[in-house]
Amino acid sequence: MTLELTECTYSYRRWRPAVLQDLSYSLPSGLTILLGPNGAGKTTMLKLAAGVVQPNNGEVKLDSLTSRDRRFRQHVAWMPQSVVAMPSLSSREYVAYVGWLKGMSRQAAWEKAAQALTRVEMLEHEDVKTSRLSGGQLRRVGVAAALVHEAEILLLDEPTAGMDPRQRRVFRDVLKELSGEVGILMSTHDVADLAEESDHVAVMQAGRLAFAGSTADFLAHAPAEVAPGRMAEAAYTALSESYAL
Amino acid sequence: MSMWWWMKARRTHSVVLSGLAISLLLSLTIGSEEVELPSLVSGMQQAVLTMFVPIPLVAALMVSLESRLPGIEASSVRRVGGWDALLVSATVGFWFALAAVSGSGVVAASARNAAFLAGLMLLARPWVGEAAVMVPVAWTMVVVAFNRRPAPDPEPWTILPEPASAPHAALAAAVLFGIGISSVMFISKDKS
Repeated sequence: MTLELTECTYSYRRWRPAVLQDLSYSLPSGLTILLGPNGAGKTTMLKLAAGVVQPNNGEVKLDSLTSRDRRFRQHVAWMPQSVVAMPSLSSREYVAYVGWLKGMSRQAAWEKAAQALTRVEMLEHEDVKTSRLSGGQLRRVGVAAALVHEAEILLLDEPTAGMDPRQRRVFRDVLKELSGEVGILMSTHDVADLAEESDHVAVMQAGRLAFAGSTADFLAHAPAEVAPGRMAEAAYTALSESYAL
Repeated sequence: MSMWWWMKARRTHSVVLSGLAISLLLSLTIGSEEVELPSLVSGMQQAVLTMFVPIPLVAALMVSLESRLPGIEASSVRRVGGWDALLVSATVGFWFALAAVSGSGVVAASARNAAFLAGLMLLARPWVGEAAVMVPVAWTMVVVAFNRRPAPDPEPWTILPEPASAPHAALAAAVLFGIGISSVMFISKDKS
């Protein structure tokens, strides 16, 4: 399935300036990293792609389904930037609730919740109330919630923020596993850690796409003398300067 | 029960039932009492407590509705807004049912006030979020401050001090409640 945004314009209130302006983008298969400075419109783009908000102009489509269609939502998973703890729900109930919201039966959601928690190494905390989890643990539950209904498109808004290095490693292994099966669009400020492991990179600036292409094309913006481990950062800096990000 | 997790997420057992119990208890025990409160237009004014007893319930409803997963619920396949509307309607409906069973005019007036204030709050919620819980409180304060005539014959715009038999108050409550419920069902709360 192909997720496509066509000439999307969006503002949170009609009288406010548009956060996204005539944005067109087609999500390729594999892992795509979405970069850009704060306020560039990354979160809004992900919200549009997830069907959380609808564009004022333009359309978001997944093959023949538009984002206004409820069936669209079944194929798209979304992890918001801030994962909200629910004091009344345990980790497993939280993940299962998200699966149920996405249309799964109660039993299927319950079973898949255990599998998703296992994937992010959180099964041992399945009975712990989400309000008692640390910030990093809560984000892993958020990742599990995005994985539970096995969507074809995964949209992740800064999923690694607040994770310690080991948790990031686990998360990157999960992404690697998934990137062969689904299309992933993930916003991050973690350029150095993740960009070199991605298949594609998109860079946003002031509500528009400043760059979209393969990781190799992105890294080609790095100056020749840069050490291999720092290429992603150097490429982003070079792009930032050329597009005045 | 398929919506079990939704009920747990909304804390219906703890928050909504507690709010309903407190409001009903107040309505049955002190609802018919009057207190003297300062008014901006007529010195001291007698205010009936039926005006205030729905406040714990509407506050509990707001806590419950805001106990949600922003974004995720907005992109949900299931119609969570419909469940939320059902929760609010069932809660207020229970109060009306109790009023019908008890035959008490005070309980009926406070049930009507609950519908009116809940409608006001739900109407403001898409624009101001959780802060909408202050709208019913603000309306009540405005009535206390600017109503020139005490119950049972208050100025018609006030709604809250009106007796249960006042048709325009019933109509206003029904209309506002209907609009509020529609906003719960159809307007996204994730425009932030």
